[in-house]
Amino acid sequence: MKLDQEVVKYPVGWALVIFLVTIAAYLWVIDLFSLQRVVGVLLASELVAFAILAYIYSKKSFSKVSKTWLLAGSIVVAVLLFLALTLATQ
Amino acid sequence: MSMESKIAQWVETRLGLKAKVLRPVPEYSLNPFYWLGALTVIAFALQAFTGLLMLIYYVPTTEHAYSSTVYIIKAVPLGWLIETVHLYGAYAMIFLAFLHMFRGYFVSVQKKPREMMWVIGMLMGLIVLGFGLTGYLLPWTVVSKSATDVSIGMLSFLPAQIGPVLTFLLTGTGSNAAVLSRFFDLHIVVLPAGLLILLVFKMYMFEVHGAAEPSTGRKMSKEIPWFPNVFLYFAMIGSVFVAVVLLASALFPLSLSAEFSAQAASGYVPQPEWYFLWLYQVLKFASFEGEGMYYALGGVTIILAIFVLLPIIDRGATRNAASRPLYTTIGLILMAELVTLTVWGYFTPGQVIPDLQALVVMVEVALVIAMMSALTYRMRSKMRGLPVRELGLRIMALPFTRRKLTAMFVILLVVGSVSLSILVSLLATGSLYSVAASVNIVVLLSSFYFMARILRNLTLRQRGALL
Repeated sequence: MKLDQEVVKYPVGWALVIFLVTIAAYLWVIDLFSLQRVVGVLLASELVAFAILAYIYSKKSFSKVSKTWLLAGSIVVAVLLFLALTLATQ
Repeated sequence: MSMESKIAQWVETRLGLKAKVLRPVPEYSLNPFYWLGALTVIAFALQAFTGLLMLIYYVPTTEHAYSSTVYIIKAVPLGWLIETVHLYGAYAMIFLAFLHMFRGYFVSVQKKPREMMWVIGMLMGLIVLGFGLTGYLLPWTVVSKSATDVSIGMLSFLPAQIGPVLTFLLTGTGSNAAVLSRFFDLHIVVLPAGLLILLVFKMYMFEVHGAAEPSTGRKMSKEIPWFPNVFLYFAMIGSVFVAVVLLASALFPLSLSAEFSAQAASGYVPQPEWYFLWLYQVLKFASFEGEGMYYALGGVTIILAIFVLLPIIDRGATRNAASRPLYTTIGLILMAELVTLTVWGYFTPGQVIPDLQALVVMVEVALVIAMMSALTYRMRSKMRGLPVRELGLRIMALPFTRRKLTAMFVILLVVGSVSLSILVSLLATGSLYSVAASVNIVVLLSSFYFMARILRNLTLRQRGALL
């Protein structure tokens, strides 16, 4: 079944907002002295997620959003999260 | 009404962002190449933000400059991240300013009515380089102080009318304390103020004239309102840019070199940051040593002045690079020479470059670029009528459809590159008249000749396949 494009837009948008808030909350409690590299990578992931959000809302309808770009952005965010995790456990 | 719409309406009612704050932009300008200037401004904002944070702890005296920098890196929460972001932000700002300038040059943005925007942009570019020069000294490391001393030393080669005045403005009494103090003031007050004033002028003119139309002559497309569409686009590319700077900072942290002292500096070969390496390399040419520096600095000043005054010099109506072979080729040669000098300067710190070697490399780079440019323009004139995109795709496919020729070309390229590098090292040792040098000259010229033949075969003689 093909999903209504505009119905999909809101969950995607809210998922990104929740991600932004979660990472921001985590950054609030993290040790800003010993985990500076992690902070840098997480902030980068926040900005990429925000860029995806801005991209989605810059288009008039969700059908005009390139799914390739959306996927590429999501992969970048995932890679950054993995990188942050790796740096945090070093 | 959805939650987003309610939030958007609440914000709009309070802030009135949909009112014409900034002019709408044509749809074609929603392309990162049109936003290189805006990204440079974002880099400047990032520099201002991180700079202000560092200012809380930094002490601009010769006794405490280094120790306060070390304190920021080692004892302040997020200190080294902020310090590293400031460093990479500066690199990004300078790199983007160069890109913005060359992009503007190739699409001729300096033509009527944007002449003053170009001149102001060039002045802003010089201020950006000034930021690099003055900021580099502030950590007071042996690397930064030695390189700055070389730059200050160059001032004595300026004409008597401006040299002493500029020296006094930059160095005061000439003592270390005065130099650091002046550079600090310039870095945090004078240059930012100058840049902001010029930015206001440039933004005002941008609002009056708008973005330059595509140089290929495409007609105006529909206009996009500044809010929310352009604002969101700007937020998107700005976020990605800052994310890249942050990621680079997290992955490649700054490492501070030793503190400056006369003893430490005595054993150190001064080398500037990458954005001044091209100039540093030119000044290392044997002819430009000592008194010869007058000519080198004079030449660089003349090239800079030509660039600043380009709107007066290049007054033709054509903006399309495809119809401006001379200016496009000159721009490409300048870019190639800048990159060559920068890489060369990086690998030869402190070495004086023999004149013949310098001449061979500089002329060779210029010749290769000129030949490539001539070939491209000639090919284009033969294939007029084919859409540029289609032509580009077909040209890119050629190496795959003519694999044997491509393989031969690659082999010749490797052979030519090896003989060129051998030739350059022979020139460096002064063995130009040896048998090895003669053999390498023959190999180099032969490889050039056969590569040209293959290119000709791949392009002009394959017109049947292209058209």
